[in-house]
Amino acid sequence: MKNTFFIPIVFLVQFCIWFVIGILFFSFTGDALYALAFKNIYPLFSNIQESLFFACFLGLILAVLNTFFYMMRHKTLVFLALFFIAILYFCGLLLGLPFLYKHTPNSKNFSLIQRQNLSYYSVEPKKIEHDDMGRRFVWLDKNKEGSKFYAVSIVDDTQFKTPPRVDFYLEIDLASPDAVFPAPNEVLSSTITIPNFLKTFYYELDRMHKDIGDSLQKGLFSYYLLIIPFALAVFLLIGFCFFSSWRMLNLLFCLLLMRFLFFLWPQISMFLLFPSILERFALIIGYQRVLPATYAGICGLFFIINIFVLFRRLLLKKATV
Amino acid sequence: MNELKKALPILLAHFVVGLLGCFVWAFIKGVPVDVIAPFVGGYKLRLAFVQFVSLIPSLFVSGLLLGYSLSFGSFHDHHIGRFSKDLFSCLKGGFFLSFMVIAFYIVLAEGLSPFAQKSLVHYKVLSNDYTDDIDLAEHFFEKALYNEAELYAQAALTIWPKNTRASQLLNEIQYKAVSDVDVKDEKTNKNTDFINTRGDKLTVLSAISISEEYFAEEDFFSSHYYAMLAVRMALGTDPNKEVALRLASHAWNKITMMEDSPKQRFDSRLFTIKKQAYAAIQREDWLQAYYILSSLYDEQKKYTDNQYDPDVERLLGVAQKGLLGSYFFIDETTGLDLFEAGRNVFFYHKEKNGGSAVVFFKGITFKKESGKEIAYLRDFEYAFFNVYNQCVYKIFVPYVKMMPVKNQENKLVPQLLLHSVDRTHKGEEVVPLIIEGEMNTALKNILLLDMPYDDIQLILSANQGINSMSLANLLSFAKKAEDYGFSHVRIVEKIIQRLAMPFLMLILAIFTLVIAWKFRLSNNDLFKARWIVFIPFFPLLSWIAVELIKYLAGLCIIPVVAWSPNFALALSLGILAFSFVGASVYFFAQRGD
Repeated sequence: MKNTFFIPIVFLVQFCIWFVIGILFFSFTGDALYALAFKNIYPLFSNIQESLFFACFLGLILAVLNTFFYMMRHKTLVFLALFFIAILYFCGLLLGLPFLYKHTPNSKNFSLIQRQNLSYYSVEPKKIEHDDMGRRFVWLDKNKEGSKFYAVSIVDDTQFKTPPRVDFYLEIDLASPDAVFPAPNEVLSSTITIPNFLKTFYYELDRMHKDIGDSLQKGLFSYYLLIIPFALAVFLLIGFCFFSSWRMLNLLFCLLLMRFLFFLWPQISMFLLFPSILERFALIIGYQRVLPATYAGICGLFFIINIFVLFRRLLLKKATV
Repeated sequence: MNELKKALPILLAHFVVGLLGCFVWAFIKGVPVDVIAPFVGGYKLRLAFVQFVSLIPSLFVSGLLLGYSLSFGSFHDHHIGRFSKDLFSCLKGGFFLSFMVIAFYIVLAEGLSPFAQKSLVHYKVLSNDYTDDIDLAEHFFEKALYNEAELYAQAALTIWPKNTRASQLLNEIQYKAVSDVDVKDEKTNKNTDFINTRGDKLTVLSAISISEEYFAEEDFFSSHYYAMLAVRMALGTDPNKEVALRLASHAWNKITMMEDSPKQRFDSRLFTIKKQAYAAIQREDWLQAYYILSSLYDEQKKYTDNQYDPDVERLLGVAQKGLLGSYFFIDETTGLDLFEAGRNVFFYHKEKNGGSAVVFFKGITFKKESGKEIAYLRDFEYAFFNVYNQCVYKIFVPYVKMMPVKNQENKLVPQLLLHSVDRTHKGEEVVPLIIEGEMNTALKNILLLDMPYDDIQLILSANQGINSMSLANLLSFAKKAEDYGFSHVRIVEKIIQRLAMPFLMLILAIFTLVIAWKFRLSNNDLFKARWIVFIPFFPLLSWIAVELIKYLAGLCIIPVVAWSPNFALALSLGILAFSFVGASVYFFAQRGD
């Protein structure tokens, strides 16, 4: 009983933790950190402002999941605990998020993929830089105008072992739009190599953010239509938390299914998965309703599994008694 | 420790399956198109090994998670309080296992994996060389330049000895070369005796006697020759040695006073040439002396009666030794490409006098010469800039010989010999091509780089990629990186990343134990066979977690290193140590349901 009444606290604590982690995760991008390294804090602040809305959305989703994990490990009155979670979760999603979106106009600029593109270029004299064409530069100095740099470049052309190809005094006018820039400072070149799985995830989150933002601009009904089936699907993951007697396996199910729910969003939203079927489906129910309908279908499936898990546990309990 | 025994087989199973998986993956995965057939097997084996090493942290986390999650099930039958002895025992076992695996990982990742990675690069380089050599051989063959074509075809065969294409090409080249060559009349070798020689068996006394005879006949060259022969034959204690020396000296004095004239006998020419060579050696014109003596030596080798002036050979040795201090022979560089230790090396170098230089070479080959390490730099380019960053000169040399020499401060610095000469033909030489500016004549032969010789190896490693540098090299290079145009910050960042990895693995291991504890198998439950289906997902999730943590740790290092590169290492290790203690306390603070 005591654990049950802890549930709202656990949920709120989890929300706060994941909200902060979300902001940090979305804001500490290579570009912002690179600027920070050169004592320019503005890009980081800008990222934080833009990330507030989506970090809150993701915080709510992850808070639900982690509260379920807490329930896996502690004896609670399941239905009462779920009631507490549902109130907090759906209030946050249906009331809190539209409010936050309205009051954070910068949220519209949120794009994780775009943030990974470095826009800061370091032109440090006497350092070897690389560019995409396999050339290496040594920036020697600025000229009097302050806009041109003398550089040395190497083109690694090994074909027919022709004499090497060093172009000294390659003048690069940084003001020119045609200027060939060296790659950004090497400080970041290895660390900002984002793992591919993360890039894919960023892409999915960007699409999700765009759809949610568009729906909020259309109106609350449009937003509720889009978000409720997805939110419900996440909520119905509770059944998988008690699927087997090995908690680790339940944890695995929850994490994989959660990942699946995120993966599915851009696939359905952009008609990438079974496009012909989705097109036909869209003609019947309307393009805007394909995504909610898909998640509604998943909710139905999860609901059946929840019922199955509930009955199995009841039967097991009966058998033990 | 009981849990350790249960978890260990699962962990080992992870490593075994992981290793097998990597080999299967490497053999299924195609190799890059440019890797040639003889290297495919070695390439795949090394690729599998490198991949396995990179997966060790993920396999370790997954093995720990599964192993301890199952073994912690035994704690379900009794209550475990916070900071209990049971948990301490588990943590001890976990630490022991973690240290063992991390030590194993460090040995593989820092010790063996860099070699395997270098081999992968080497295979690609050799494969590219093979393709280039074949292309060039065909190119020269078409242009009827058979010598060049044969050279490249042989180089290709050295890389891939059993290749039919290369051997067929070589045969075709050789056949064509022979059939196209005009049959030339053999030149008759004229045996010209420069010195009157006698075929008798000589002793010291007889040599002196002959010398005296020639002296009396005013044939001073022969007299000198036999006197010197007696000197060489005489033992150190032989009183005749002094007599012979005196006689040689007298003969030499006469020679030096003689005038060249057509009347002189032919052997006077020998001594005139020797005189010229002596004079060149005296003024340290080694190149002149070498060619004079070399042609004389070649001439003498043609004698059929084995009578030649040993002084020529001795002086040739002296001249060659002197020459090799300032020049090198063109033929020394033949076929070096195959053994190059580095390619496309490029660095910037700040001189103490305020000037700076940019150095580039396409390849470097190390060799041992009289126990001393030397190197040949291929397609060498060097540009020197003054304090105002204006180019003073820029040169290109096809081959440069580099050797360590002591500078005025008694430190070993690289000395570059820029001038190479033909071993036999005077005038056939390779000199630096001045592309820009003007170069001091004195520098056209020898260039001293104002940097420690040992740094060359570090620069080579850095040019191959900082990622492939060993930790020891990174630590040595950190303070010097800026002197050669490499970023100190970048090197420090890489060092922190490398040093942080074992700490991160340890911290991750403790958090894994926490998760394994929290989500352990229920009381009295046995592992069900159907659960095996889901086991492959655990390494996948662990891999995602490890890669994510590595990426995030890398991101966090950036501002720390950029703001305080000198304290970044201490700061980062301090944070990691603190996190490690925190994670351990968190594990202790767990309790049973």
